[in-house]
Amino acid sequence: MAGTTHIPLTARGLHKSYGATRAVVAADLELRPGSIVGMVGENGSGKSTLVKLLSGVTRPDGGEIAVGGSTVAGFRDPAAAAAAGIGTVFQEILVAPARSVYENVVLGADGLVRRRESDDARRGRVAATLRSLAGRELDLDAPVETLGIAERQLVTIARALIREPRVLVLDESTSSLDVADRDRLFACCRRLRDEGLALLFITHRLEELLSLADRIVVIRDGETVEPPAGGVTREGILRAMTRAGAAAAAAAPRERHEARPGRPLLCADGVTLGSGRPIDLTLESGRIVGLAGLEGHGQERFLQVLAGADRPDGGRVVRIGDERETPIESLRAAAKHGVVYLPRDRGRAGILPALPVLDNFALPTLARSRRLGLLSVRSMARRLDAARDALHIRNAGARTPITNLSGGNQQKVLIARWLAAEPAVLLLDDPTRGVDLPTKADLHALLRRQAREGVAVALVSTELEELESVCDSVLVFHDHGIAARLDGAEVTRDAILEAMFGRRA
Amino acid sequence: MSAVAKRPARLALATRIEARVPWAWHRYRYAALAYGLLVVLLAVNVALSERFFTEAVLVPLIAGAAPLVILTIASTVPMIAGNGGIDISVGPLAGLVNVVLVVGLAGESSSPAVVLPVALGMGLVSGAVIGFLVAYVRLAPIVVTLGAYLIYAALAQVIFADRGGTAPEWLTHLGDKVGPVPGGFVSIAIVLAAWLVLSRTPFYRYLFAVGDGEVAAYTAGVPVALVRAAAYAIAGVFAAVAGLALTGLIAAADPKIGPTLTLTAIAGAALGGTSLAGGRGGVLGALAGGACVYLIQNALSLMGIDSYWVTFSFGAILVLGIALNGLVTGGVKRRGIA
Repeated sequence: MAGTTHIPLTARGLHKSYGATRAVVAADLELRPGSIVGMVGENGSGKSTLVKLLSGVTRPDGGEIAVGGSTVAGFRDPAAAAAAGIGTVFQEILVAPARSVYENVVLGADGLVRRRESDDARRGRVAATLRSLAGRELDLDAPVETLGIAERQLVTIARALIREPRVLVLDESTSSLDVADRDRLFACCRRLRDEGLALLFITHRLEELLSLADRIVVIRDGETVEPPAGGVTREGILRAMTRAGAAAAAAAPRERHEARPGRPLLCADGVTLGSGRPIDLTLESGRIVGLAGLEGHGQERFLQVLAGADRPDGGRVVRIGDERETPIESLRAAAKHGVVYLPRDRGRAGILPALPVLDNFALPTLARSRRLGLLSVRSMARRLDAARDALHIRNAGARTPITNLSGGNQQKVLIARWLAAEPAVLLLDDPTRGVDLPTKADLHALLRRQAREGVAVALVSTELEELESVCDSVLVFHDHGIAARLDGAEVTRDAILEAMFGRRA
Repeated sequence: MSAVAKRPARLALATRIEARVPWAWHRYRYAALAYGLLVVLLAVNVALSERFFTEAVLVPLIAGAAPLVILTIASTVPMIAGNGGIDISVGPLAGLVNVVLVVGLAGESSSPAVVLPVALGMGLVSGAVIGFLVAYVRLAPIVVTLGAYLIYAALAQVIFADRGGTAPEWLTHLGDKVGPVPGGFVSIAIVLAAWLVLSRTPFYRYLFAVGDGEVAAYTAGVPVALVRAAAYAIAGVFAAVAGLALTGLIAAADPKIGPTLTLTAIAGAALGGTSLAGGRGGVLGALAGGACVYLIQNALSLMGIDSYWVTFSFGAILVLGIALNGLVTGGVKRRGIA
């Protein structure tokens, strides 16, 4: 594009809250032409929300974005951001699977009636862009659903490039690419930088950051921070991400049961996830095991495999009972043998939003409230009362709609639901996500109490403090395998973070 | 920000086999079942009727099929747009157009210059209002169009009020012949031509993309709500054309026919391979699906079978057809947790 003036993007004081959760608190960002800014942050630090603000998917609560010579308080929709010259490749691989490669690449580039460019002319550009990304010809007419995951990701990258943006935002865009694809993408990024584009490159991988970025910005608890000058090293970046010990000191002291032997209750035997190395794990009574890792490195799927909700690509999961061992191959089998699983997404997979608290609590254990073959509401209510006291569930009358409760109290009702089944093994996926601090403390105390009473607990958590303060041991996942097993006193924020970012054990 | 395939979707056997076949098969296989069934049903109808290939048989047959086929096409468009898109008001809308033209517009004296704008305008306004309520106000399509269904069916009765009337003479050609061409073909061809023009616009691609990958389309800058609303507006206009074809066919006003056509049209659309989940299917399939439904009706009445069994057979064929379509086009999506 001859004669295009490249104007940098500046964001000042962007903030955005979802209910009580402050996702982005104060984001300042300056993207200069001909420069790649690398951004890194923990899970939940606000990276993805910042991307949504820059791309027009959501509007900020405040702050401003200056781009292309004008200043706006956020974009109305993604089309507006694209019109301002911002191209975004999202973390999720967003495609229309039944449509062709070509249609997916040019998706959204036209008006409703008019084409901006004839298809004939554009096909050549699309083919050339994909060639430079994939290193070979892709069939433009193939439906995207016939492509592998890496090629789909390349299609989404091509979608951003084909519109010749002045600012390019890449959010975790290498997650599904192999090394060769990634190198080609990096070469492409450097070429675009040399042509004068401003790039924002967001990644979990420090090596990528250090090799590609001209400048590094750390995002922590929704705020952007620059690492200390001269601190652009692995250690400097990691320290900037964790707020150096301040939080660790604040974590409540606790007793650990380091050597107490437990009874084995659930055992993963050579379980493999995709291309990862086999995983062995035994959950023992009285112990809490944390599963940590960056988003998408296998810890969540491993928990689902333990729960029978997903089948492993190799190996097996066995419930060790008093008399015999039972393979766990379905959620049903798991539930039957005292293994309960709390999925992450409360709204979609957990609560029944149309029903009151009582039904939400009692649904899986209705059989316990049967009298003469019929359901006794009184017995259900009695059981709910007991659970409510034990868990400090607030403002929850039996008839209260569950959606009137705060997120934390909803979560408590869900946990009470499964505790009512008197499980032997409790599997929780991020149980305190989006929960306020006092409730979080309640839930942690509850988990410890359950462990003391002989339950085996495994939880996936994205919060380092939580892993550090609640778990007896922590498995850190990387690339669908275990990068580190930390036990007792080894369980520290720094050790977990270090392993998450790819220190091989 | 969640529904992301972490692993490539499990591909059905059909998908793997056709990896070596041109993409045309991939693109049109959704309609394979409908066209296969269409061939069988044509053979059955030929066998059942004497002198099938004569003007006296074929011309009324095609004219009789036209309103249903067009309504099948009309109801297909909102389905493609996805998100529970469906328009069950198309039948009564066609019926209302019929009654308004015959009773309201002083019958024979009405010229095309009045009739056509009134009819198409009714369809456009109805479709635009439904589209606005569904896409912008975000009301459930099945409820909005059920409301429209009841309103149009009642209005047709009120306007009709046992008053007779005759259709404009020029319009009755659609029920017979336009020059040498069967009139039914003409009205269907008008709709197909309109669709062909639309298919050359970016809107056509956006329509499928919105149904197939709403989030992908939105983040890519596609005006998702506008595309959805337009799908209902198009359905409304096509339903108005069906109303013209119906008027030409019966050459009178009849407020009772319209409502009976809706559910058969939806059955035809589903049989034609359009997914109620959106994004997959198309008008070519609807053409065959609508024709199939009509030919079933015709064959059963030729055999002198009670009309209750006609309805019964629709139900059976619909369920069977959708199940078979699922097999042909790649099976039921695997349901997962989280």
